[in-house]
Amino acid sequence: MMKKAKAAAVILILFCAFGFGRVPKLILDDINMESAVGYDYVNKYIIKATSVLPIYKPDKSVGNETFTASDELSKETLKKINMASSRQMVNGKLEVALYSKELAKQGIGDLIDTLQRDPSISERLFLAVTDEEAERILSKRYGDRDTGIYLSMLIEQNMDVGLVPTYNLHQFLNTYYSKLSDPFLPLIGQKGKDIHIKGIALFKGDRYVKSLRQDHQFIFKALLQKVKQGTYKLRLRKHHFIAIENIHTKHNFHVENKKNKPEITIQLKVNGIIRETRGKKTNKKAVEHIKKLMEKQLETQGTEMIRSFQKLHIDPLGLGTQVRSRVRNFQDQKWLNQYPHIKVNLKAHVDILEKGVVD
Amino acid sequence: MKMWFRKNPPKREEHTLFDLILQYKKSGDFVHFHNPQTPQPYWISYFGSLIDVEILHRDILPYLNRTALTSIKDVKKILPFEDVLITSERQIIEDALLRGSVLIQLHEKDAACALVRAEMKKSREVTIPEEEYSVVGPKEAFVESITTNLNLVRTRLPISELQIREYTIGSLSKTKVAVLYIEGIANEENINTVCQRLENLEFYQILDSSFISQLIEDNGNSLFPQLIDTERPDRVAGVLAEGSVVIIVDGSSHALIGPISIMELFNAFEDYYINWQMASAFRLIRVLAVSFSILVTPIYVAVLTYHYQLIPKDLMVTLVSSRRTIPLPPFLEAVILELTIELLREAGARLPTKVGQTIGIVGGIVIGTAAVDAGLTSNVLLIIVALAALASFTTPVYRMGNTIRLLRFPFLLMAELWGLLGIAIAFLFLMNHLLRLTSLGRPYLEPIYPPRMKDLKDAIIRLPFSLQSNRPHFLQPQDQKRFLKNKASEVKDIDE
Amino acid sequence: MKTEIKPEFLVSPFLVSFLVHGTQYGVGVLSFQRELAEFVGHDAWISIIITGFIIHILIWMIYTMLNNDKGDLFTIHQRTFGKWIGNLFSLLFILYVLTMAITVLRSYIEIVQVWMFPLLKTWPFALVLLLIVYYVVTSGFRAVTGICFLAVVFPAYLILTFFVPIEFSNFRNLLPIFDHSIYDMVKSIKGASLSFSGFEYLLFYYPFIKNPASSQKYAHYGNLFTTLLYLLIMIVTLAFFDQEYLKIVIWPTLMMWKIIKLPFVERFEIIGVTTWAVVMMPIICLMFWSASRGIKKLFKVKQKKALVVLLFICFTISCFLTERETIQQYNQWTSEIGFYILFCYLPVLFVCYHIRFKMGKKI
Repeated sequence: MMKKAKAAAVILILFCAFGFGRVPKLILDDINMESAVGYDYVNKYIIKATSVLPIYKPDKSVGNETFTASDELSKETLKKINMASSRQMVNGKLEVALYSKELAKQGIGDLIDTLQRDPSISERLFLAVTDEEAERILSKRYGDRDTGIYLSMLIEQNMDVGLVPTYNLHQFLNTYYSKLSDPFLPLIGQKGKDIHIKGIALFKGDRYVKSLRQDHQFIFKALLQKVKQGTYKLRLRKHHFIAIENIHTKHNFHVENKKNKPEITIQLKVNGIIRETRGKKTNKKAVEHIKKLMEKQLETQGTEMIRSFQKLHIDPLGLGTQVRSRVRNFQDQKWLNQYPHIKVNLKAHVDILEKGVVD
Repeated sequence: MKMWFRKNPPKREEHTLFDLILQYKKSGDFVHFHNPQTPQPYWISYFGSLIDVEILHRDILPYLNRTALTSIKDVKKILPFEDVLITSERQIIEDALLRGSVLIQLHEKDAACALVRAEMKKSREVTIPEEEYSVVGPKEAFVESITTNLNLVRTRLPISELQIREYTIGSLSKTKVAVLYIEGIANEENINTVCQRLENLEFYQILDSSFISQLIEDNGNSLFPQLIDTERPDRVAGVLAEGSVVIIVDGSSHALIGPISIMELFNAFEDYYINWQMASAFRLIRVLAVSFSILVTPIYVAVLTYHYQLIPKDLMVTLVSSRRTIPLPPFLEAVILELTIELLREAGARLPTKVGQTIGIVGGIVIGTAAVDAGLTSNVLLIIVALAALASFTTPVYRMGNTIRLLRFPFLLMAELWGLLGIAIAFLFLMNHLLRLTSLGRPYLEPIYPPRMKDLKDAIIRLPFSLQSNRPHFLQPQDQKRFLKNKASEVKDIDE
Repeated sequence: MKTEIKPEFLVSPFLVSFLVHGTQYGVGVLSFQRELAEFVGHDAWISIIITGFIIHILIWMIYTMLNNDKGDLFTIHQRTFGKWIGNLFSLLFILYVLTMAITVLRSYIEIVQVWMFPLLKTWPFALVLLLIVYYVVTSGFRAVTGICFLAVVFPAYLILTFFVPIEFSNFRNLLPIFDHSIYDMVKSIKGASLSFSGFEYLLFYYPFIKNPASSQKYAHYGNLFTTLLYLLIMIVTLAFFDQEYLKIVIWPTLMMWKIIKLPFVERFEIIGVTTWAVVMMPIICLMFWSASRGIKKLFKVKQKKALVVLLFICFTISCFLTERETIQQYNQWTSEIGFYILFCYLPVLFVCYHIRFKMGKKI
């Protein structure tokens, strides 16, 4: 009797689970997975969203489809896009989110909110600012994969070996929420048929303020993280350049006079290999000269860049966090007031490890 | 054991030996004849289908015809048999006749008679093991005769401590069942459990050792085998020396080993014939194969039905484009393919070997390719299901392979319901089931839980013999030590 | 009055470390960082060490009482406060265990609902989970311990995953050390209490341990392991998140898993949530085992029946907790109760028991 009751209970529970516990299915081939999304400015209240979907064909080739919709809420745009799509739209495989420069100037905080609130969005998502309308960039097709994957591969590759600092959604949010540092994003532009990374867009809070000068990109990345595989174009004289490759760098912060007015000294160590020269022998003396020159050039570039940050009241390098970690009872407000006036010294030390197989 | 098997066959109403013979005479193969020409006339009766006629003609009839018998006891003197039985007890006579003895009487109505064993020995030759085939190591397998089987074991363990207890089980089959153990090594409790269960066993027919194992297992409702059946006498000898108890059943070419732990289901006995590194690697592969076999199709279903985020972008193209034209949801697709594989296996098992192979090839290649071409299944799933089926055949114990193949279906169902979470829930159920399970009262998950480091030496991996100086702890052997560690394990310096 | 427990139901002393660690390491792990960092910011890892240390002292107290008494919570209560009041306290303790069980169950279901299936109904899922609990608990204490053990061993691979976020971490975040006042530290300990609770079930299963007195060091090992693990997670979290960002993240551990990417799998948090079903199961099982055993001892009813009633209560209450805010409220509430029971009531009981014991000796 007891046994029968138990068996009945178990069957009832399983019946309940299978009958009422069902959850909506997202079968892989019945959904449209957004791979990139772009936001454009329409007017003060309305944004235009563009979604890119890869279309997987049975013969293993990948097509591309773009949808556009405008609304006040970005989730609402997804809904509108869904109305135009033959399959359910999901955003779990989102790789890249683009914001047009114009929109970024107005602030992207609210749009970021939808990304971080949604658990299905990856922390490794790449954010970028576009020089022109995001829709224009996304509606074209590049390479053999869909635009989203292409963009993410482009950005990732440039982060690994190029001059863009490694920077995904998680790091963006870290700097965005931090009072002591400001976010930045890669800037994407179109050049003819192709898209390329133009530089770095600097933010104050969630607003775009300025893009980084092209020649500051190397020192920016070197001061932010360890460069592992960089290249540097050293200008000797007019039209005389040297390419230093396989650069890896290390930097150290030193903070003095912590209590009142901090003074920051950054020591930068650069190791590299000469790969290409234009009209220059590479004997011992010349190498010594190159070293000196490069040190000087890096120092001027760096100081210049930091000065410009201070003028704009932005801190993408996170100098504030560096000082905070060295000062007890650190006061945020005091630091923020001080920031434009503190002295930052940059000392570079360059080592040329090899110079290739010929002298 | 079970209520409805307790009924004995109807009681016969005869009283004297003569009545018994009359009763038996109803059966066509019963021979009962009188030889009046000899110095002393006698009656002889036997089952023609049970006895060896050659023995009768060569060793019994000539002697009886030659000599004059004064009393029935003289039969003992004249016949060249060491165990001629003189008795008048009905029960013994009945048993002996039915087991192939020849009954000799001086007068037809005599109560006393002589019983001479002349049963026909009809056993197959000892052959190569088929289920537990091994490339290295001995190649003898058990046959259907209990005497041969016991012989195969005893020659491997020529010690007086090897004890055999015999039982006769089955109200109709009267099957001989022998319990083997080594005194002084095997734990008394284990022996008693086995003997107790066998004594309490009431069943009408024991045709094979699997009957016994189904009837005395701790949990008859479990999918998992709680006793291992083996056809290798070397394995039996090996586990006896570790302290296990072995059951050998007449008419069955498989011996039963108990108590076991789940890890032993992954051990081929061949592991002991190759060096320990390889054996360990093979065991690990088997464990991985089994987990793979159970989990891979459910994970496929779960990920494709619910968790598209998990798939890396480079794999996405392969997966989505292979599924683009498939009309069925992943769950149905998987179930249908799994059933097809089961179908092939079942058809192959029911057919003679050669035809079976053909079926496998035809089914595997033709149906598989056609199904993919027709767009009924995705080729990714086809690969997964085929691999999973292959992996399920790596278990050295045949019954375990069946268990694995069946286990996959509840996992599939749960994967369909709640994706990976469903798999985790099914896994929790399985774990708890295994925790509950015992084999002859010993924990089934042993070296894992209760965790015993010492037993891990010969569970998922097999360490060299020199490190295996102790018998497995879960058998609770009376004598823990296998051998004493000698100086070989001393650490030596260079050139010493 | 005491009935000896049969030797085949006893567990080895060293399994106590798994019992202690397994019950401490639960749903709290996914979210404990925020509550700690709220008060002490980047010094949160110090309060983990302090809390771990306090728990060691509490374990020592529990063992001193139990070794003296050779019984469990109920005999201690009866001996300290007399039969009626003692039993009343025992009943309140059982209620506390039940509320904790509901918290664990509902929090887990909530995580599933937020991270995996937003439309999953609470009740069918709770029903299935409680069915497993019933299956485990009815198998007896050995099986409960076994599930505890397996739930520590199988998900152990997750420890490796806590090293992956280091790639995106900045360990400068941890400096300067000890930048907060003692008062803040004390407040943060309160936040950590829920994630460290679980050792108190020693009071229930002590009689089921072989040579119980010798198991004390294993209980300490278990707690030590929990502390170290929390320390690792805390340090990685602090390095991975900026202070201000951490303040708004509800489940930092899951956020850290989101960053993990392997060649064959992305988005590790889904696997993490799935594995967590295995991690939190033994906690609920041990809680229900303890509670039902308590009811059995107090009211002399069959443990199976008590279990069914408790499961039903748990099921009903967790179905009524539907919104994030209510769950949050409930969790805060239990956390508060838990803090006072562990950090105030246990020491008081310890003192009372010893006073009573000394007096008893004199008489």
